[in-house]
Amino acid sequence: MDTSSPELCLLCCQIIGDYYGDFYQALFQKLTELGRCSAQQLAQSLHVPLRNVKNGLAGLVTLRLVFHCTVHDGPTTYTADLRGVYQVLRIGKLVQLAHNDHGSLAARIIETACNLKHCTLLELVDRVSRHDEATDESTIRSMVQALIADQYLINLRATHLKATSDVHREIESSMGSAVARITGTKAKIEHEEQVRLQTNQSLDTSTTEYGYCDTRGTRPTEGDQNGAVRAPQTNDMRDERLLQPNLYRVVLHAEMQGLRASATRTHGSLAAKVLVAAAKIVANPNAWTPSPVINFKTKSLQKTLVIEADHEQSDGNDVVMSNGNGSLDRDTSSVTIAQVEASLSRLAEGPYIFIEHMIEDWYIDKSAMDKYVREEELFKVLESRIPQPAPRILRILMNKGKLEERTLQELGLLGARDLKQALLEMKRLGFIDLQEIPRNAQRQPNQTVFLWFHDHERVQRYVLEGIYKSMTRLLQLLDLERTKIESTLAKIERDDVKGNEKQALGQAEYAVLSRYRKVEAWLNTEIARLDDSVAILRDVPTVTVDF
Amino acid sequence: MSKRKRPDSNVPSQSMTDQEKILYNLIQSKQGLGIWSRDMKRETNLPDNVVDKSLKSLLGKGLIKDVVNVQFKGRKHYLASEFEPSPEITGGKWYDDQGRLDSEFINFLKDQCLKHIRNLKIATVDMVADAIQRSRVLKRDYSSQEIGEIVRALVLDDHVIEMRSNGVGEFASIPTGRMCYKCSRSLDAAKEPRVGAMASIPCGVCPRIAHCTPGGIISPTTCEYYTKWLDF
Repeated sequence: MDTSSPELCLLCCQIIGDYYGDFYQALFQKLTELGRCSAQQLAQSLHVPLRNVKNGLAGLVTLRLVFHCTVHDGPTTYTADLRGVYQVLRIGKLVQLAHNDHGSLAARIIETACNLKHCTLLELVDRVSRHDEATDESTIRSMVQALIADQYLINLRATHLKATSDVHREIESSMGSAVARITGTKAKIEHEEQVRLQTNQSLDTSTTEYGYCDTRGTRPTEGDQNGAVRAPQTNDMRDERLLQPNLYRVVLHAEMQGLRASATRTHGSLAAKVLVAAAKIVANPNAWTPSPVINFKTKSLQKTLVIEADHEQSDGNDVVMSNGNGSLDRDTSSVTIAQVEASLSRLAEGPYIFIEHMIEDWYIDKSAMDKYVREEELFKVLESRIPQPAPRILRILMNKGKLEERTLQELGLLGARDLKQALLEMKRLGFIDLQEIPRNAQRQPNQTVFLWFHDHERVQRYVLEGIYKSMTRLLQLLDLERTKIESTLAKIERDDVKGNEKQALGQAEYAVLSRYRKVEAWLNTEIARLDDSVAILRDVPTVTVDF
Repeated sequence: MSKRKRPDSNVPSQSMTDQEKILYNLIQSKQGLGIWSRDMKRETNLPDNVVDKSLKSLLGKGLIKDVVNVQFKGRKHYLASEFEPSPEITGGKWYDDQGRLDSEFINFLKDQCLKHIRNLKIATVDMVADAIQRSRVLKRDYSSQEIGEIVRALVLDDHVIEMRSNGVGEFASIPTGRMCYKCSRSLDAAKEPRVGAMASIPCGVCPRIAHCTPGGIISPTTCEYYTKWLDF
């Protein structure tokens, strides 16, 4: 996550203000301004007693919104965890996903886990059973196990409670004095790659420091990079391991939705189903383990599709929460192997070139798939902001690289005036840029070549900044609307009014409350939609996973 | 390709001066590409006023003609009247006589191509060109290469997707390995643009978003767009 993004910092402060109040917001805001700092420094700059600051920081650390770092001979320092704060927005989506996949009990379990941030299996079962006395403990326990198996709940490692930069630094220091002796560019690159790999290994949720294997208990435990001693796992140890909700599933869901929408548009609903089912095979819910090129057989994919269809059919009578974020596909028709094979063939011919058929197996290149989804999302944003011929120009620049205006005119069959207008508009919005290459030292314009180009990463950052700003504005609007009917909202919190609003409030006041609820639902849906774009553009991994 | 016309027997080539002959021969040697007046002056080493006078005279006699270069609108290229200007000068078939891109015609051709691709479900460029020819909507026939340029523009617009035939299923009528095209969305879906998350909120399309700050002149609390947007 890009911590240098000012709009993201503002958004995170707004989220904290909305969810946890003004004091936490002020602390967090100061932390984003100062960067890494101690409690004393924070107290000084905020003019707040140290004791209060320490209490606030303790709360923020418990809520996993701030990282703390204690070194052997120095003070404890704190850093803002922008990722942690941002993910607060995704809790509702994760609960909805768990509900869709496993039902209402799963949704309650995930909601509890999100509130607790992290907990042991025993704690979780205990907490859920306290609020849901009708369900017996063994049912809750088996549902928790199912959620662990489906990676809705993942292991918590000590490294997850530290800033990635601290983990990185610790790994480097654990390598000892050998690091200082590394000379030469190649050796430095190799060293950096090794550190990066070890960082990802130490964040990998499929294992813990104590050698507990993941969920299904089928994977043999392996030694971690520090050579930690691996003890054979027992049921007690499994119960006491720390679990956390896996919010990366929301990112995966957004990616799958993106693929589904694209494939439905180009190849129809059956091909879209096949593509999503195939993509799910390669999409690993463990964010810290990059998926390479993965193969699968048509028969296994067909089985998956049939199981999914049966699952959807059996869930058909369930009440589905409707928060505007995705809906369940209720097509219960089963598909044959021939249909799956034909759909995969059609998809592989274009534009889904990340699917490949070799001998008997099908292969999906995950990184190419991620790239495709990201580009589609970027085009969606572009098309909503500038009409044709801007998307056409962008596709040419993405395919061909840097081009002169004249070449663009020829390739895009564009008139000079239309092209110039579109180029200037795209440059104003930050989608493309201009490079000047002077032919001589005088740098005269008529002796200069002007090349238009598209820097994908920079554009992605720019688009993300726009989305963060829009999300902040929506949250601010929501805050404003809330302030307008503060007294009514306070009134409906009273026990005698709760659930009896229509009678307890006057007609006019009730109309105002109804309008506010509509606005709230509307704004929250828009925030969720913007978050889908963020998930695809920012959180769908690039070539390597690096949080 | 430039085509040589039959020379006009009435042309008074005998009445040309020596300078005019030098210039005429030079212009003729360039065939359909023609030559810019400044290049002419450099190559013949004739004084500016002589070149200008001779060109005017040759134009008057109808021995040469001037054409606007599509890439450099200010440069007039001269070519012998028996030659047709080459595509490098005129920009090709997609440009009109004034060197302007014939956008209207291109759009018409794009619509035609899209219509035929939709009818054929999946088609190669040859199949599209053939279908257009059979429909007789155009005054002249267009080659597969020319239709290919239009179809590629449709691919860039995301109206059409490019696929390689595998010879089975819907590709059965197309030889394996041939590039073919199909519409990227249904007729109904094509009428509606793809809507990203940013399109549905005022901030996504606001031209003043860069100036928007809480408490500023443009702010979320005073935003008129939001007031209208949230007017239930």
